[in-house]
Order: sequence, then C-alpha cells, then structure tokens
Amino acid sequence: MTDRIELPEVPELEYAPEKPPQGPVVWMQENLFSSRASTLLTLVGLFIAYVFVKGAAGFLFDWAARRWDMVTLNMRLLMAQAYPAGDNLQITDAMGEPIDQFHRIWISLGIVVALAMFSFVFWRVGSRLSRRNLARVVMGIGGFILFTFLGVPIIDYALPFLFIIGGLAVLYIGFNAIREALGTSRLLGDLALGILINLPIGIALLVLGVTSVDFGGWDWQFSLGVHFWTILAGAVLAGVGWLLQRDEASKEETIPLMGVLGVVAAAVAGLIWVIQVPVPEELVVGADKTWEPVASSTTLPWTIILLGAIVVYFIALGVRRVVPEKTGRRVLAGLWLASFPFLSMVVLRDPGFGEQFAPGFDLTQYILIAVGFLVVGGAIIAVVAHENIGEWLAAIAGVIGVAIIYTWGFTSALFFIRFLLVLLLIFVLGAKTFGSGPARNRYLIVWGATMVILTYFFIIAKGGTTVQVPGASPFGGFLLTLIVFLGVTLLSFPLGVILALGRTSTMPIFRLMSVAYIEVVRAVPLITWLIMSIIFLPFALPLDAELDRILGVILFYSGFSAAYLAENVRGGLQAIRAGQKEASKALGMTTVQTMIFITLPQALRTVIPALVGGAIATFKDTSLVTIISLFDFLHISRFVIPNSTLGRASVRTTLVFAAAFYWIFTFAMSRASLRLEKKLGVGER
Amino acid sequence: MTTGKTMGENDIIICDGVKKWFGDFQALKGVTTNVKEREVVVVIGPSGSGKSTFIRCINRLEVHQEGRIVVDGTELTSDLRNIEKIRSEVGMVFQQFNLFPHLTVLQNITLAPMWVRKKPRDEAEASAMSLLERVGIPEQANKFPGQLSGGQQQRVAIARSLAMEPRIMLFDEPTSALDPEMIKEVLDVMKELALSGMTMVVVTHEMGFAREVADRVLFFDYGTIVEEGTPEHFFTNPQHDRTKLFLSQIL
Ligand SMILES: Nc1ncnc2c1ncn2[C@@H]1O[C@H](COP(=O)(O)OP(=O)(O)O)[C@@H](O)[C@H]1O
Ligand SMILES: [Mg+2]
Repeated sequence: MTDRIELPEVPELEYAPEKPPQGPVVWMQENLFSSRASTLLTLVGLFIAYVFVKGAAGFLFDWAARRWDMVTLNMRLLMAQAYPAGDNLQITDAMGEPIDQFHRIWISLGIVVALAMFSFVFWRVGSRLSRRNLARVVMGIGGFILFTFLGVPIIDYALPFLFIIGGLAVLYIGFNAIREALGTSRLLGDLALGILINLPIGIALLVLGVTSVDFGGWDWQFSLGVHFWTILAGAVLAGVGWLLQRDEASKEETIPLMGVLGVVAAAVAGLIWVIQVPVPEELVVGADKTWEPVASSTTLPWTIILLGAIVVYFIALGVRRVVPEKTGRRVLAGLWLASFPFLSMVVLRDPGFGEQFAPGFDLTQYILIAVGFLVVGGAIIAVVAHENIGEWLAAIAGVIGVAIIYTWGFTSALFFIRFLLVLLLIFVLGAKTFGSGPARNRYLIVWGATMVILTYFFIIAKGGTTVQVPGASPFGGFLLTLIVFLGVTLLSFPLGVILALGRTSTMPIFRLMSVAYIEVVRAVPLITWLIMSIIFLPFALPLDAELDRILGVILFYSGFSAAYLAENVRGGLQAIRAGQKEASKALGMTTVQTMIFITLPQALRTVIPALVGGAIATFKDTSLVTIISLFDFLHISRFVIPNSTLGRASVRTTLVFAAAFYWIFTFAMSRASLRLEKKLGVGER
Repeated sequence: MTTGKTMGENDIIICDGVKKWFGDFQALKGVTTNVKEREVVVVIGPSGSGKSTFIRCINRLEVHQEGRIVVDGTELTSDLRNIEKIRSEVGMVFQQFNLFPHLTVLQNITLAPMWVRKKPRDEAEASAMSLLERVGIPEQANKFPGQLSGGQQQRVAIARSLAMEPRIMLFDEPTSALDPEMIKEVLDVMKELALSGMTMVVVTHEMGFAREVADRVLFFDYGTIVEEGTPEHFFTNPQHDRTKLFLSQIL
C-alpha cells in the first residue's frame, strides 16, 4: 500500500468570455440611458453642452464680425512684434538697406526641432498606437466638427444634407447585405437586393444631394456651401472613425505614433502651399483683396522645417545605430541645457557683437578680466584647498573681503570685477570643506565652469542687442513670452531646489535664510516684483536699458517662482521615509551624496505634477509683463492688432486665437507630464 | 561551539558604560559588552527595551551621550571622518529593508561602492552580481525593489550591505516584517554569512537561529543587559527571573 495522497485535479485555466463588439446603440444604452435618472442627466447634459456650443459657434462663425484675416495678416506681429524683417524700411544698416534678421528665428526654431527629433529617437519616445485609438480620435474630431457646426442654423441646406446622409446610409446597408451574402454564399436574395436596389438608390440620393447644394462660390466669408461641406466632412470623419474601430483586431497596437506625426507634418507642409486666403492689397478698409497662400511669406520656411523634421528623424535613427544610447542621451541633455543661452544669443545678438549696437562695451576687456580671475582665482583656491595651509584661509578671505568693500564705491565699469570677487570669496571659503583632497580637481572645474557661464551671461547682458527697433522694446509677441517662460523655468528650478534643501536643512543659518526668503517673496504680489525689477535693477546692475528690462523680469520672476517651487519640493522631501536617509548613511554616504542620489530624485519624482502645474501657471502668467510695458503675446493680441488701421473690431477674434494658442502649449505640457509620471512610475514603485 | 569556527582574539566592538537619552527618557542605562572578531552575537529582549537603540549606536545612527564605543580601533566621536570610516566598515540591515525604490536592484547595490569606495562601475557591477548570486537572486538584478517579494528585498538589502565589504554586520529584526514562508530564505543567507566568519550583531526573535548560530546571547531589558551567555546556558538554564519570564512568553 502506498501512502500517496490523491490530489484533486487542478481545473484548467479558463479565459473570461470575449465581449462581442458593441454597436453604438448598445453602448449608449449601457452608458448614457441605463436608467431613468441617467437618461435625464444625459439629456440635461447634452442640452447644456448644446447651448454652450451653439453660443460659441455662433460667436466663432459669425463671419461678418469675426476678423480671422487679421490674425493671419498680423501673425508676424503676434510672434515676434517688431523683430527686424527685410521689409521693415525703418531698420536699415549703414548702407540704408533694410536688415532682415528673421532668419535667426527660423534657424533657432530649426535647431530646436532637430534637437527634439534626436531626443525622440534616443529616448525612444513614441509608442505604437492601436487602430482603434487612432480611429476614435478621428471619430472625436468628426463628431466635434459636426456638433459645433450644427450649432449654426443649417436650414438652407437641410434637404441636400439629408439626401446625402440618407444616400450614405442606404449604401452602407447595401454593402453590408452584399458582404454577408458573399460570406455565406447562400442568401442570393440579399445579394440581389444589395446590388439591384440599394446601390442605385444610394447613388441617386448622393447625386441628388450634392447637385442640389447652392455652393455660392469659395469665399473667405465661408459661404453656406463651405459650411455644408464642413458638416459633411465632420460626418464622414465620424463615420469612418466609427467603422475603423469596431472590430477586435483594431485593438492591436500596430501603428507607430511617429509615423502618424510624420504623415501629419508632411500633409501640413503640402497644404500650406494649396490653401489660400484673401489678403487686402492696401492697408485701408474696403481695399481689394488678392489670394495668397495661408502661411504667406513663411510658407517656404515652414515647409523646410516640417520636411526637415522628418528627414532629421530618419538621420537620428541612423545615428542611434552607431552611437550608444547612453552617450547620445548625455550629449543631448547637454545640448538642451546649452541651447537656451545659445539660442537667445542667436536671436538677440549680432555674432560680432556689433559695436554700433552696444556703445561703450568692450568685449576684450571683459574677457581679459574673466581669464585673469579664472587663472589667479583658481590658483588661490587650489592653494587654500591644500591640506596643510588651513591658516592661510582666513587671511586670504579677509584680503578679498576688504577688496570687495573697498571697490564697492567705484563706478559701474568695475561691477563685473566686484561680482567676481564675491564669487571668489565664496569659493575660497568653501574650499576647505568641499575641495580638499581628491575632490580638489573637481572643485576647480566647478569654479572654472561657474566663471565661464557667468562671464557669458555678463557679456550677454552688457553687450546690448543688435535687434534694435525704434520704439519701446526690441521684440515682443510670442517670442518674448517664450523667452521669459523658458528663462524663468530654467532659472527657478535650481534656485527652488536649493531653497527647499535649505529649508529642510539641519543647519539653522541655511534654514533661517531660506524661510525668510520664501516668506518674504511669497508675501508680495508678482506684479510688485515685476515693477521693482525695473525700478531697482538699474541701481543694482547698471546695464543698458532695453534688454535689461527683459533680463530683469526673468531674474525677478525666477526668484518669485522659485519660492513656490521650493515649497512644492519641500513637500516631496518631507514625504520621504526616514529609513531612506538612514540606509544611505549606514552605507557610508555623505549628506551631500545622500541628497543627490537618494532624497532629491525621490522627492522630485513625487512632485512632478505640482512642478508641471507651476510651469503651466508661469507660462500663462508671463502675460503680466505687460504691466511694465513689455509687449508679450497677449498684449499684442489685445492692444496692438485691434489698434491697427484694418484691425478695428478684431479684438475678440484675436483674443480667441490667443486663448487657443495658449491652450495648445499648456495642454501639451500637461500631457507630457502625464507621460513622464507614467514612465517614472510615480506612486507605483 | 556548534559552528566550529575559530574565533579571533581581538575585541572589534567595545562598549563601555554606554548611556543614551531621548529627551528625558533614558533608553540605554550603561551598556557594557565587547564583541570579538568573527563572533555572532544575538540580542533579544522585550519590545522597547533598547535593542535597536543599542545597535544603532554602533554605527552612530544614534548618538550616545555617555560612555565609550570603539569600533575596530576607532572611537566614535563627533569627528565626521571617523563616522564615515566606521559606517563604511559596518553594514546594517533594517527591519523595513529600506531599499532605494527609485533604483534597480543592481543600482541599489553598486551605488555606495561606486561613490564611497570609488570603485569603477564595471568592477562594482561584477561584484554586485556575484553577491546577488550568493543571496540566490541573480535574475532579479534589473528589477525595481517594488517588484520583489519581502524575502527577496531583504536579501537584496543584505547584498547591498555586503557590497561595501564590511567587517561587521548589524541586523535589526531582519525577519520581523516578513511573511512566515519567507523568513527561512533570509535566515539561510544569514547563517551562511555567519559560517563564513563575518562578525555579526543580530537583534531577532528567531530563537532557532540564536540556538544554532549564536556564539553569545544578550538579553536586554529596560535599557541594560540583564543577562548574557552561550545559547545553551540561555535556553536551558537562565538565571534571571525576567529572562525566564521573557523566554516563557516567546518560546
Ligand atoms: N527617536 C526616538 N525618540 C524618542 N524615543 C525613542 C526614539 N527611538 C526609540 N525611542 C524609545 O527608546 C526606547 C527603546 O527603543 P528601541 O531601541 O527601538 O527598542 P527595541 O528595539 O528594543 O524595541 C523605546 O521606549 C522607544 O520609545
Ligand atoms: Mg527595535
């Protein structure tokens, strides 16, 4: 007899039954009309949405009142205000020829796009989409167009519209009947019905519908014909989308996202050559109009950039095969960091620091001072960092301190020197703690890098701009909005992190300083700081007037934004369990290493949503710079365009455009943050 | 001696009258004991008796206020260099594992060797892999801690400490947060470590482990060592009433 125990048979795994594909009617029954209450809510919701959309559509498509032509006509003004272009006769060189500097903006944009393409490739952005998701997007767009345009009365062509929809429906039923008949090879009756009855009737209805529309010509003022075709296009998109997402196979993720984007880019590049809009010949009301490409003078640059993006994408794919991914990513990260100062230089500066634009600025002098400091200062730091020369530290620091105080009274020419002295003092004081022993070389490199970067920024700030125009400010529009936004985001991030670390530090002096800074800065409205930036900055930094206004705004705004960022980061730091720090310490890591490798990365991950929220707020709040007479994107939409000769009564239209434009950017940011969160697994790991 | 290994002569940890207060509350009331090289010391005692505080003082995660602690010839003072030197020679394993959740298993293990010991990456990764082999989970190297079971996480934590090539390992209730079926896999790793000659101080309630592996058992209560001796002495012939009471409660 054996002692084996009989185990019960393990039942085989069963899969959950597959859900049959649902028709829209079933879907609606289940989701919208499942009970009396939900039916009521659905109807009320639809009614409210309809009222809103009808109002919005009535506003947007009131062709007599909306002046969309003002938006296209003034696009350059919106984007860069008075940035010198070849056709601006007020800005000329010594020979009296107009200076065209717009190509710098295009070059900058091109560089950014190329960098973006390389980054997409090296970070492997762009998953595969399922046909279902893509089709649902198409369906959504179609449905939106339909819903919106139906908000505008369609009485004039209700009949042809019904004919065509009816025709399509009959055809659809016919094709379905034929397909089924062919599949089973039995239902001959159906086949005959489909071919003999549905096809002719459907086609007849279609022809009847199409021919009975009064097109009224293709005009900018959107004739009823155009309106009709738009609705039809919406219906077709919605229908095609619905058809493409029904089957189970559509769930498979087969379509590469980057491919879809490439097709869209190519399509846009093609369409801007085809689509034309009427443009007044003269800048007077009631002038004759001629037809011009929708992107007007920017058709060629846009085409180059869009097609270039596709080409660069493929080049990057090739490069990835040769260059290791990690190396590529490091190089790209470096390039992105360097791109902002470099590109703002491309946009704002003459490569030769043109003398005529920056009177009194001597580049050589600045570079000599910087090199002197780099070498002599480096030597001092190296000596002080040496193990056995501790006593010298106080003496040297004292001498430098006296020199700073002594030179404080000098004129602005020495400001650069004074600034570098303060910097040197800080580095000398820190040398013993951070730069002794094996860390010395690294410390010296940090000193060198800090010097180079600061000198660069000083030269930028002091060098004046070559982009001079008569009037208040060198440039404005979206370019200004973008530069202020990027500058503030880039500067406030490190500052905010340092403040957060200071606030959570165990060293009372740092904690006190951080708390004081944060509480003071947050307690004063941003507008006040912006005004202060033009009142106080000239006292602190005697620089040249115009560009400095922008620079001052960026500095003060960054300081303001950093205080909020610091509070967010602090939240993240406090959420980290004490065990993390203990484990790191128990491994022998220093406080700084623990911060860099353990606490900060975890803290920043948890606060990504808050940080992106802050960035979005910053992006929108850049419009506050209007308070100190800078002409940002919104300011130009509100005041400049509506005050032009032709632009009267176009303020609402341009505001709608501005709102849509802001939305595109902020929406993209919030989507990107979602992706980032998912990728870093916030809340999972 | 059941483990049959030879014990070094040197005292690698010396504690002399160690006292520690949290505010007004005295957690350690004068602890005096020495640990020899290659010795395995198990610390037992009721909750709140100061066991964790004691071993956390040994690598200065807690700062003692009176008495002397000397680890491998270096006295623990507020000199920062001493502390970092000692911490890199004393490994610690926590009850809650405390793995770094944002780093992979491999990165968890290589981080400190690369930045504290300044090992090149290849070398650090190679020894991390052999450590993972040793604790039995080389295939998990590229996962994140959150994707592992508790027992696996604790084994990674042990490998992470060993990667610093410590001379002493401290364990603070390494199996208390584990499900019963995972306790054995961690204890096996610890036994192997003890047999290899590592000096260990282990706070645990696993009496089987103490009986089998320990050279000496310390019984803590109210912040002092109430009784100490070999496991045999302890489990067969405890002297003190409080020891008897405690053992009767947990055995
Ligand atoms: N950080 C602390 N602050 C205040 N009291 C503490 C702290 N850590 C531990 N204690 C107290 O010290 C005593 C000993 O704690 P602990 O060493 O963790 O005990 P055990 O590990 O033996 O359970 C307990 O009463 C505990 O409440
Ligand atoms: Mg404890």
